[in-house]
Amino acid sequence: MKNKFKDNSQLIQLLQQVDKLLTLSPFADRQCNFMEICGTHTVSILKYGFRNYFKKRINFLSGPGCPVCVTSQKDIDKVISLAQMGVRIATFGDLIKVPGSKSSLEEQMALGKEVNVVYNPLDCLKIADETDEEVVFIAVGFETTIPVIASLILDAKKLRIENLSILPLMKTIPTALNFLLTNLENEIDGFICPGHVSVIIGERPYKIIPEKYGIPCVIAGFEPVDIGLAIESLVSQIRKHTPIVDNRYKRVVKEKGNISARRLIEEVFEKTDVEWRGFGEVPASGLKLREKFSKFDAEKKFNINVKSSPEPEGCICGEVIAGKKQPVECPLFAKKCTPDTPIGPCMVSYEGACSAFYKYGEE
Amino acid sequence: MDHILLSHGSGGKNSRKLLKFIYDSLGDIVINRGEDSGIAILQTDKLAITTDSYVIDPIFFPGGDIGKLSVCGTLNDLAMVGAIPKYLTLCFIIEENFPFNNLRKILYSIKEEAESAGIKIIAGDTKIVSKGKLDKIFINTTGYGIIEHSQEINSHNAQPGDAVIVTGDIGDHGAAIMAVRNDFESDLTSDCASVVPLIRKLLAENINIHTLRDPTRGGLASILNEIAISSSIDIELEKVKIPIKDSVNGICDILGIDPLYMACEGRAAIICPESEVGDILNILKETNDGKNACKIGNIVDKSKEPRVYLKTFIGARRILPLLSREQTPRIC
Ligand code: SF4
Ligand code: SF4
Repeated sequence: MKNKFKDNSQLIQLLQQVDKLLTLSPFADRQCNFMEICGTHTVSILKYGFRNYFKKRINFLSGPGCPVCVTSQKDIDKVISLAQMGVRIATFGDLIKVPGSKSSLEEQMALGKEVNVVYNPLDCLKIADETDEEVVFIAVGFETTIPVIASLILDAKKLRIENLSILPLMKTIPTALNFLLTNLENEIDGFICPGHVSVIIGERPYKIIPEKYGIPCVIAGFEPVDIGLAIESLVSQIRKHTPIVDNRYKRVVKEKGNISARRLIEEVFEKTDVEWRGFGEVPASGLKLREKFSKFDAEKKFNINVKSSPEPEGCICGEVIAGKKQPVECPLFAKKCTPDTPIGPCMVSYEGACSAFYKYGEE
Repeated sequence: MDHILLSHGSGGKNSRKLLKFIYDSLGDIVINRGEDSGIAILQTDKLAITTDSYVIDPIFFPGGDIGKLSVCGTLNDLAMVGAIPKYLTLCFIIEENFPFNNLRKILYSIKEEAESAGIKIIAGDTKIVSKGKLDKIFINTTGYGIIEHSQEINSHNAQPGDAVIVTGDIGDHGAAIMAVRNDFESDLTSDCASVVPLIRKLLAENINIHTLRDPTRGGLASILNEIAISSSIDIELEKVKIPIKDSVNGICDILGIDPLYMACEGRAAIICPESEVGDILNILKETNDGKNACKIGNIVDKSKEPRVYLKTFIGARRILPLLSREQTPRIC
């Protein structure tokens, strides 16, 4: 079966047109800064060669779009301290290699601590059922993953599973974007909004970006044609001075998003202030368990005691996430810091900007 | 008794039983039975030797099993220097309690592959370790082959202007294994097979070959990077020309893994002068295992900083780097 979003001869024409537009006013003498929020977009843009294709005309900035990368050093230390206490950790694979200030989960595993990699948070039910040990799921994720984590809590409650809890490190995307725009002096000409997150939250939460800041937005998928259409949308919005939230991923993202998934989130979680790597504390940008589910909160269940610790020396992950710098501007990039010897989370996660640059780096 | 016991490795009665079981299952592909050393008779002054250990999980997978893999993998390594395989040694390390039935299946696969390659098993060994000391069964094989051609086929011999050919679809084995490990429903099968017949055919037709490699662990991207480094050259591939099944792409997309880094177990990358491409493709396309063969790129230049480049289908070029870390599936 041919995938028309992957393999489409019209795309090349479309890109040529866009490239031509970019030589005219208002673009003629400047580079556009487009921020892709989602890590999977970062990967697509590099992997399919868009970055190289628009080398001189578009500067693609990676945003806070990878849940692993935005997790603060302190939170990573909490995870490791849980492992050291001897609880069984259930986590997405990407977290394993992220270095905390003194150790990593990988190192704890080598020391014999129990760490289970899960692909689906609901797998934790089975893990908890099969052991008497305490199981803690490391709940990182954005709106995409959070509904499943909510289901995990509801199921655990219904099944009266007592030895399962979560370390709540979930974050929400629109709040972070807002924060980015009010607090950081970025000159961003357009946002490529995340495909998967938008499936849940829909178009509305982004509206404030064109309305208040006059910045064009486009919701996009991840195939080459999706990226091509997204770039085309941003360029023509800028040309016509008509910033909107343009949904170019209608085959998946509905205007109102997924209401029942959001209800699920609502039912289990409430907003709270959380710390983002690179941003510091952002008000109401994270989620915590509602009071009636508090016995599933690993923070409360275990006495986790970690101090704030500085991010690894020399690592500029924070600035990369905030779109201020490119991975290649980091002095450690591809030298001391590689996917084998990652110094910051951006080099670990598949969606991390540094790892994407390392894997798919252009010339 | 239907499971292997520790006593099957003790050297006593049970050991003899196990040995008999193995001999019976393998039949007459085993020579020099019961002697302390096998004696090889070879009329050649150029011998190729290679050894490899197989520790795959799961041991049975769509398209093959650890037995088939342990023969094909080693034969393929011989083929990569253009050698004609003659003998194989076969060592098992088996976990206590391993079912005899599974052992039989594995032995039958070994027999089948050895027979079709026309090779004999010249020596072997079996060890049993207590439960939990290893995962089910490990196999080591060493292959011996003779070299009859007079070409220089090695990783240092790729030259500017040469073409890069692959003998079939890329990434099938890795994707099939990933699918099983992750409980994905798929109709993917491993490409596990011997490429010896393909390579023999090419050599018999006097095709000029500069480099041969089988893209096993690390996939096509890794072996091409290694060739680039060994030969101090840059390679440029065209993404649209690389044959990858939609189902393989699908699994890779889900897991966030690039199929170009997925292992193949029945493919070869051939680097040869551009003028040989037509003949090679004609010969390969006549065979079943080579019917999807195609040219995927060229050696572009000598280089002090050897690199593999990938031309994406929008016409942009990016680096296809050497990655050493095992790729972990992504979060969402
Ligand atoms: S969590 Fe989903 S939307 Fe967010 S970066 Fe990952 S793939 Fe993209
Ligand atoms: S290259 Fe490494 S050290 Fe530098 S910002 Fe990226 S992750 Fe941090």
